[in-house]
Order: sequence, then C-alpha cells, then structure tokens
Amino acid sequence: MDRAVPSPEPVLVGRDLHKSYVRRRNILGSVVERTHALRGVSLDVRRGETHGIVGESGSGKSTLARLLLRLESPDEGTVHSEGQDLAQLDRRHLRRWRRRAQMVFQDPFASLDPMMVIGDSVGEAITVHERVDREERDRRVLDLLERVGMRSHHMHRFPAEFSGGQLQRVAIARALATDPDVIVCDEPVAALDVSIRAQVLNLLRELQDERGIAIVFITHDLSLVRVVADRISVMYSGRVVETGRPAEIFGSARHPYTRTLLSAIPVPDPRVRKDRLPAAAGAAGATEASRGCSFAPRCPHVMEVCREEVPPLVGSDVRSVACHLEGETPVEQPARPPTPGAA
Amino acid sequence: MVALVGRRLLAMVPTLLIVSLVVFFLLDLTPGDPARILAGETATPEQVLDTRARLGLDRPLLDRYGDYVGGVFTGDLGDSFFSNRPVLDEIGRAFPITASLALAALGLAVLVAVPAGLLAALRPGGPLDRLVSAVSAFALAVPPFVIGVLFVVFFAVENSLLPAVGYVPFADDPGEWARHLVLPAIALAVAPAAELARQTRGALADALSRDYVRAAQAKGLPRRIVVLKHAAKNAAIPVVTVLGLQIGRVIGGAVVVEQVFALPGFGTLAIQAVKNSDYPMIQGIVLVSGLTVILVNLAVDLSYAYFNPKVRT
Repeated sequence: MDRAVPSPEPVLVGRDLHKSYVRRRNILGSVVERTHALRGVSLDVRRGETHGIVGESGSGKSTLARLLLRLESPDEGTVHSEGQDLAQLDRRHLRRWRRRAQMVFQDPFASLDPMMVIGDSVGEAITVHERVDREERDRRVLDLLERVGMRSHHMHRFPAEFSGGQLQRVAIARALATDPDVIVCDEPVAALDVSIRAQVLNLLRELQDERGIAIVFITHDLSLVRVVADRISVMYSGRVVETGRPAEIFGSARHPYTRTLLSAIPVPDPRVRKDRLPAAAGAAGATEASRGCSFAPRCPHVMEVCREEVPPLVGSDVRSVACHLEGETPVEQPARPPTPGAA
Repeated sequence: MVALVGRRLLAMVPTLLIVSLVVFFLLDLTPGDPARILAGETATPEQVLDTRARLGLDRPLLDRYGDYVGGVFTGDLGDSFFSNRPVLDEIGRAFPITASLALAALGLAVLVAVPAGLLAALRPGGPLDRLVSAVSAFALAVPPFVIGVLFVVFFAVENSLLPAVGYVPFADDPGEWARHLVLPAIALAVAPAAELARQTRGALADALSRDYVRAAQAKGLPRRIVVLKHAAKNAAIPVVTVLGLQIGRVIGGAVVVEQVFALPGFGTLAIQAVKNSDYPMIQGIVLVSGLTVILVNLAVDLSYAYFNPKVRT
C-alpha cells in the first residue's frame, strides 16, 4: 500500500537528538540515576508524508514526539523547521511557530481540558494566533467540527459527554485549527475500540490528502503502521535501528530487532507455526550501559564488536540500518516474513 | 440550583435529629450528675433530689428528648443549668469569636498555602518544591497548641509585640480585635496550610502532566495562560474539597487554641459545659457545630458548580 513519496521537502528535521530524565536523586538532590530516553535520533518529516515510528514501550517514541514539537527541549541535537533552528527562536517566535506543528495524543479522555466545552478547546487554538471576532471563530470551529464528523450542537458540550472516538476526532479538529504543516500522532487509536479505529485513521488520511499535512504516526502496532505509513522508522532503546518503506521493512527487514518485532506479530491461523526469534530475557532497559549496541544483550547474531561500538545508521534517508552485520556476511532472511502482500 | 439547595437544606433535618439523639443518650450514660454538682458538696440527698426535679432530670429520657426537640424547632435550646441563661444567648456570644478565629486561620492558610503549592508544582523536584514539602511535613507534625505556646512565649512574653491572651470584640476596636487574633489564627492556620499546600502542589503537578496541558502549550498559548486557565482550574477541585475538610479541623483545633490564648470562644464554652455536665449547653454546642459543618459542606458542594462546569447540569 505504498504511496509514492510525494515531495522530498522536509517540514521538520531532527538531528542527533538526545534526552535523558532524572530517575533518582539522593537525599541532597543530586542526580544518581538517569533514564536515557533518546540517544541520538535523527529523523525528518516530509510534506504530505506519513512517517511511522514503531518500537516497544520505553523505546523513546513519545519523547521523540515531544522534542519534535518542542514541548520539551533536547539535551543535545537540534530540530529545524524550514531551515530555522527551533532552539534559536525566542519565546514569542516559538509560540508563533507552534501553530505549524500540532499533536494528537493517545488518551482522548485526557487530551481535552475537561473544564472547557469542546468548541472553546478548538477555538482557543484559533484565537491564540489570529485576531478573530467571536462570530468568525465560531464559524470556523463549526467547520472544523463538521469536517471531523461532529455536529454543531456538540460545540457547547464538555468532553465528559463524548465517547473516546468522538473525542479523538475533536482532538484532530483542535490540531487542524491552527492549520499546521505537521501533526504528530502519538498512538492515536491505541485507546479506541477496533471498530472505530478505521474512522479515525481514514480521517487522518483524508486530511492529509486534502491539505498535504505531514504526519508522524507513533505506534507499537506493526500491523497498523504497515497500513498507514509511507516510511517507517523502527526505534529501540532510544535509537532508530532501521528505516525503510513498509514493503522493505515487512519484506526484507535487515536489523535483527526489526525481525524479532515482525516475528512477534500474531498470526490469526493457529495451524501456522512460526519460527519466532527469541523475545529475549531482560527487556529493553533504557538505563543500560550506553556502550555498544543497545540490542546486543538480546540479539541472536551478537558479535564482539556489538558490545563495544554503537553501530551507526547507514544508508539513505529512505532506507537505512544501524547494525554491525551490515557489510559483514549477508544476513539470512527472516524465517517467514508474515504475508509479504505489500512487497 | 435552588431546588438542589432546598433539597440539601431539608436533608439536614434528619442528620441533626440523629446527632441530637446520639448526644442526648450518650450524655445520659455518662457518669456525673449535674444535680449533685449544682446542689453543692454539703447537700443532703433530699436537696439533690429537689435539684434533679427542678432541672427536669427526674422525668423519663424519651419525654425529655421529645420536649428538647420540640424546643429546638421553635428556636429554644433550653437554659444552661449553671448560668440559667438561654443556651442560644451563650452560644451567640461565643460563636463569633471562634468564627472569626477560624475564618482568619483559613484565610491565612489559603493565602500562604495556595501560592506556595502552585510555585512548588511549577518545578517539581526543584529547591522550592523540596522546601515546601519539608516545611509542610514539619508543620503537620507539630500540634497547634505547641505552636501557640511558642508564639505566646516569643511574641508576648519575651518581646511584648502582641497580646498573649484575651479578646476584644470587633465592634469595640477593630485594631485590637485584629491584634488579639493574629497569634491564635497563625497557630491554628499552620496545619491546614500544610495540608492545603501539599494538595495544591499535588493537584497542579498532576494537571500539568496531562495531555490537555501539552496540547494547550502546543497551541502556542503563553505559559502563564496554560498554567492558570487550563491546569489551575482543573487543580482547584481537589483543593476546594480539602479546604472543606480543613474547616472541620479548624473548628476542632480552635477548642485547643482558645485555651492557650484564653479566648472566651466556642471551645472554651464547650470545655466548661463538659466539666460541669451542663447538658443543655453541651447539646446546644454539638448541634450548632454540626449545623456549621453541614452548612460548610453544602457551600463546598455548591462551589463545585463554579469550579467544575460538568456538574452544573
């Protein structure tokens, strides 16, 4: 289901992003332990493209989202928007920039202010950036709500009166209100019933086609990312380990972690037995020593060098892998790539 | 809204009836015969019996309770066994003292604790946050009378900055009224302030970590607006709830603090009444305190409608 990558023009470029959080302090308040959520992630988001980010929980996906939108600042590395380093913007210009990048969150019940009627939540995004009178604001809010399939009388209701699917559509309307270039969706359908996931996904796709919005789609669900993404980055323990189009990732995954991930996709047919790669003892710890490849402790193909050096991400923007096996003896293909339909 | 208030006011009646019933029967079970105290140490058994009859204590318990409740509905809480004056008058004199003390304490607590909690929540784990946590933990651990005694020693005995004891009615001299209330009010405010600061900090820190706050930030709203309009408004509900609970605590604490500062308030009245087994007085005091707590809770519930538009329907 690959669509041609529409335009090479990046709207958001992250370079070598690092971020760590304080995990524990001693009694005097000095830091004794840190969680390294991101350890050098580079990523670009292009106009009209959906960039899927997959990884298990704790791999740094959500941190990446917050850094890309500058809801938090990176410890190291930069985020550029159309040649402008966001770190260089002063507070006023940063606020002005914000209209260009919006976010849709996982939990629809927590992502709208419970004390505000949804019309105001959406309308506020307009009035922050533009001087519009009440009438004009309401008219535009109405348009947006209708665009996401809500009714006009919903405008004056509180979030508590809606279902998760409805709220997620309101959240999308709110994101659209600033007319953004890019929307970062952090697990936008994970909290929704399977029956209404398609609604939300289709809406995102339609809006993208209409407006050429770039979408960063963060999920742990491989089957989902395969359907929605034009490009996929696989994250593990704060690093991108492999990037490629869905056909490449699902058809010819090169990083051992990606293949572990693929082998973990449930197969609906109980008679099909898969040769699963080991899921590994000791799940990904973001606090692990930063020496060597983070996947080395779980990797079936681990070599000496893997424990010593972090493998660089090699390849082009569209297809790259971070593994010491690259350039070594050719890696055997995964035992059974699940339904290579997209290839 | 009016219907809601009406319903809640009506619901108070059975609550107060139960309160009065429990107190009435408990008092009857307590040792100590007011007639014996009143008649004096040298009284003959006949004199004691006479006194009992005069106080009406020789009549069956249920009869006495029936009369009492009948009186309460007509605004008559009976007369004190000892001063022979209407209980309502005595309470009317003492109550404003305690009310001004409690309100002053709560006002102080809110003024100090809410900003402290807000500032602490803005930088969780920061120096101010840790200072607020440490101070409030300490403040919660120290009973108000200890603080009261320390205040008296420091401000009144050692430095004569403020009066140590006594009360001047507001109508007589507002300045003196305030001077006499400062120390007891602070002593009483310490514990609720600590509790409020912790709640404010917790509620705001929680609200600030919510996605709707991130969304508001992503919209490009200034930080100040994000905090005040989105986070603080949502954080207000648990804080108001805790404030309501503190009112009960302050009324209880006032009893002790009034003793330290020799204020002729509600608490002092209550202690005397209990010492003397002054049944009508005790009943009146319990009833009025109960009523106060119920009314305060009603006010808190009604304020939710302001802070939380969701419940307005």
